[in-house]
Amino acid sequence: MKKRRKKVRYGKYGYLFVAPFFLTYAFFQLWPLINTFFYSMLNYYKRNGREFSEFCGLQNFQNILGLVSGEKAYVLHYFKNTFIIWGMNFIPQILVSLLLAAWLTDNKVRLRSRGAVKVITYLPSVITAASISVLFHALFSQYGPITMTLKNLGIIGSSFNFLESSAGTRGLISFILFWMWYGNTTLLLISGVLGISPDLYEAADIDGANGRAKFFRITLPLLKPIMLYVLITSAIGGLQMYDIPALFNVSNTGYVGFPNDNSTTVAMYIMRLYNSDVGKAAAVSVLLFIVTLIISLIFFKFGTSNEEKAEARRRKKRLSEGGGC
Amino acid sequence: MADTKKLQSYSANQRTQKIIRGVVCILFCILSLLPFVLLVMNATRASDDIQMGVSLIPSGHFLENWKNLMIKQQGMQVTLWSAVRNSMIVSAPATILAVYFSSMTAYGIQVYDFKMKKAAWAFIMAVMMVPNQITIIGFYRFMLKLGLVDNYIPLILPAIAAPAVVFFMKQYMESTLSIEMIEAARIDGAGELKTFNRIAMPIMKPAVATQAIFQFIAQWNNLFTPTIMLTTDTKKTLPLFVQMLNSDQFRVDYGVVYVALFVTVVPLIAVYLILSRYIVAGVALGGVKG
Amino acid sequence: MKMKKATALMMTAAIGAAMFTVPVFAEEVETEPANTVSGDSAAEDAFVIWGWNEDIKKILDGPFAEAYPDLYKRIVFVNTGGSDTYQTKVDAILEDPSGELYPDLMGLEVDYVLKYVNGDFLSSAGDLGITADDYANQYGYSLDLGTDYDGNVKALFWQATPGCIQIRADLAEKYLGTTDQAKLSEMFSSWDNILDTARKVNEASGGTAKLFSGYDEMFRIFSNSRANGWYDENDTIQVDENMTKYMEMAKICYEEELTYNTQQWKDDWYANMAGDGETSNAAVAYCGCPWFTYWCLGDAWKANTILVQAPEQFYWGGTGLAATAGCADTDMAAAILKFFTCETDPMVSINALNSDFVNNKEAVQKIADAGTTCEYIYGEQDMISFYLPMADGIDAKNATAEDQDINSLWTTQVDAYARGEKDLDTAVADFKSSVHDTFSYLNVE
Repeated sequence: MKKRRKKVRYGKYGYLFVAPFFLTYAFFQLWPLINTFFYSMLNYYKRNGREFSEFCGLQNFQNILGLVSGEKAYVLHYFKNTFIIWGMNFIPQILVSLLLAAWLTDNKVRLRSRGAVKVITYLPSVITAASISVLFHALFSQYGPITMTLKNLGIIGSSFNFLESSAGTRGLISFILFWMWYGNTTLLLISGVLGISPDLYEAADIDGANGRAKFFRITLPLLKPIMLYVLITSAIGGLQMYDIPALFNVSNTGYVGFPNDNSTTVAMYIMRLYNSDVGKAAAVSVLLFIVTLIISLIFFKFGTSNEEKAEARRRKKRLSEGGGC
Repeated sequence: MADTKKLQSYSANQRTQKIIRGVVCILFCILSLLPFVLLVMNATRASDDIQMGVSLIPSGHFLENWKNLMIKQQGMQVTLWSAVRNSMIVSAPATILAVYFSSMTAYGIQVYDFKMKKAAWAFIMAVMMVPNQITIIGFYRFMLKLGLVDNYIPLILPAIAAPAVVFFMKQYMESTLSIEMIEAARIDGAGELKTFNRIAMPIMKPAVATQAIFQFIAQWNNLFTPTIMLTTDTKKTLPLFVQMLNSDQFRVDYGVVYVALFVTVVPLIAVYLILSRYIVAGVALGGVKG
Repeated sequence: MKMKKATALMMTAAIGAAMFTVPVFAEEVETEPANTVSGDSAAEDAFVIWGWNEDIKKILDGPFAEAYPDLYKRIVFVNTGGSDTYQTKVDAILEDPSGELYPDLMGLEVDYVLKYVNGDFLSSAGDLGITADDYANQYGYSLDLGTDYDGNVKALFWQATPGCIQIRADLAEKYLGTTDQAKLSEMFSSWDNILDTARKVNEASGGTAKLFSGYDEMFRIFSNSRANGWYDENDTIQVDENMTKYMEMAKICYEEELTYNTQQWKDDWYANMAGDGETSNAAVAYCGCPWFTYWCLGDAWKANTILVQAPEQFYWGGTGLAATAGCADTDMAAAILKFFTCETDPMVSINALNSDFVNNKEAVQKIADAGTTCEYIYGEQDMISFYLPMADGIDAKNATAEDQDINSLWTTQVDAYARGEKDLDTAVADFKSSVHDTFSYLNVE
């Protein structure tokens, strides 16, 4: 009761604190955003640089979903590509990052040069996507050094070509994304771990808990907010994935992902359509937005239930501690 | 007796653990370093060799490539040096704005209770999910109307509204910032903004450092927006400079391109190293107790 | 911790050093002030020209500045830095003719020139006072590429780009047993002969060398010589006979392993250009054209390139210029266009500057008469004389504004068919539906 009364009194400051964000957003981003929703309901295409537009209701959505005869639901294929590439990157990424974060913050088994490990694993995300794509393409191309090595070791067949194989190309894009971002995710998780009050670990030590128990009982539950952040931003970034697939194994326009359109992501499709059919491109964007929203909401539902309990526990503890001093 | 044995086996176990973990970490480090090494190696190789494939052996062409870069930049309207400076002019303020105002927004939502709080948070979450690619064109047209094209303002100011950073800061505050500390500050008579600057921000240091690094790197490497927004050569940023070196589609001197890429990476690593100190220090040892 | 600090210090020192050395170096090397500003766009009489690289500017700075020093002073050149985003930027700026950087003149590449030519953005050459007599010496196909639906010539090209096949002499000697241009021409005179030649290379080398790096080497030859474009006058998507022939060729090449299945401009493709056929794989022949011969061949091709005609006459690439609809000074636009694309002597000087195979029969004849050498050509062959007659027979009426995008969709289906993942009818049907998906105004019959 006491808390609530205080919050209400200070409420007006809330508006002041969030004002810069909303004013800036409204000024720079809102209009283009509203336009996108508006365009998605227009039959709006460009031909020879001339623009043609008329209102058409939900026809664009019916078209992209293949609900009209003569139209195919290409977008579903691109969603599938995107999900496969994201999933193959994210699952190993979160596992490896969690492991590294746990190890690098473990005071019982102190590894040497922990700073160096953090610095080095983070390095890949420092280099621009364009150069990374070029480098990996060179490494894994038909006669690239890694392809040749793998062939000599008999790990892949002598006629195997990563760039001709859907699994190979998708796998490599996933690997590049994993490799670029696992250091980053590790850092995020480490900053989360460091944010956990050391008192909790001390208390656990007094209770005689071992490392594993501490990891699963304290670290993991209290990392939930940061994990949720990692998961949601990665899912959003993953669904909008563009740079790496658009530069890796593609047609010279950059909008068709080889082989057989199997490494084309939704964002590449949007860019492809944008040059010819603004209405359809906008409809795909809106669809992407809706899918992202649904996925994020699902993650949130999963994430918050336990987290709130942990939160409550932790607050209680802090309060009692504060009382003690 | 039994206790000593237990202790011994415990420390032996720790030693094996340490070795296994060490080896795994080294393997990951090698994996991460490899392309960076290749980039540096390519900067030392002749253009024709680079085109033919990848090599781990350095070659003696670094100075030659560097000189060629210096000669080549004369033909361009922007020098390497001014491109670095331009990138700094854009990246540094954009990073500061993004991190500071995102913390402020997150703080506003986390600490205060106001009518629109839930709606504001939902809105921030929602706009985080808007695909970038499609709003950029509308953004460009709008800036064209405002006469802000070919200006740094549309590259810097929008950073104030960075939903992903707000989200991170809010998540971080949930696990570190306790309302009691703020109330204590209020009792001491501090104003709200002062409380935020003096109490909340120091506690947020690791998160601020992390996000500052991410934002700076994202800004520094940002190719997409500046490509669309900037037209005057003298205003071009570093990635655009590299792109210009690359744009002579059929006459690319790859040695020069890699030297330029090498130069783009070095400042990032430095900034990262400088800021990583704060991450290591950790909030638990600083803010809360102090 | 200590080590990290040391590294950080070193890195900081390195940047510091870099930041200091750069300007120092620059001062030493620079002969001109850093801001050779591309002009003053705020000036009353500024004349704005847009391009995606320095090619146009180099000609303006060189021969043009010499011929028209007064006009040159007024030029503001905007380099968008790469052709990827050129259209995006130009499209937005073209919407507002009152803008400071609204172009008076703009560069256009063959890939998308028709989009602007058929739109409302450009002035026709006639409006600028450029007559058919002025461009009488241009190659006919380049005029087709710059002409709109109603027959107005809008974009003019200064490069002509007749295509050919380039053969590496040392490898031809080794695997085909000759470096004689006439004999080699025979081997490339028909598609059947090319297949036979490819099989011969495979046999003679045992697979360490192939005739082409990838089957897409033949794509331009088929596509830029076909009778029908990607859609007809009713906007119905169509696949020319040439293109299905190309699919069959691709399939044969894939099945018999006659090429390395690389893609143009990718690493493997470059690597095959430099290979020796013994320790590394090599390709004997590449699809070519004048700019390719000058700028794209690797060192292994120096004094080692034989040019022969392809089975069809085709063009590859090319760069043009056009005045915009809102051009502020049509006289100046006309002067520049004439200088770049019509007048013989200036075009000879462009060739002297950058070796462009200029789009002017008289100028090319003059260049040929004066005698030129190209360091890549093997033996006695004269490059300009070889290309000279070839540009005349080219037909570019098949080009459409959407070619660039449609070609990529096509490539996807060709690959799938060549690898046996689809039969011909499915591949063609999939192609048509994907074109319709991207360009909703084009219809599947």
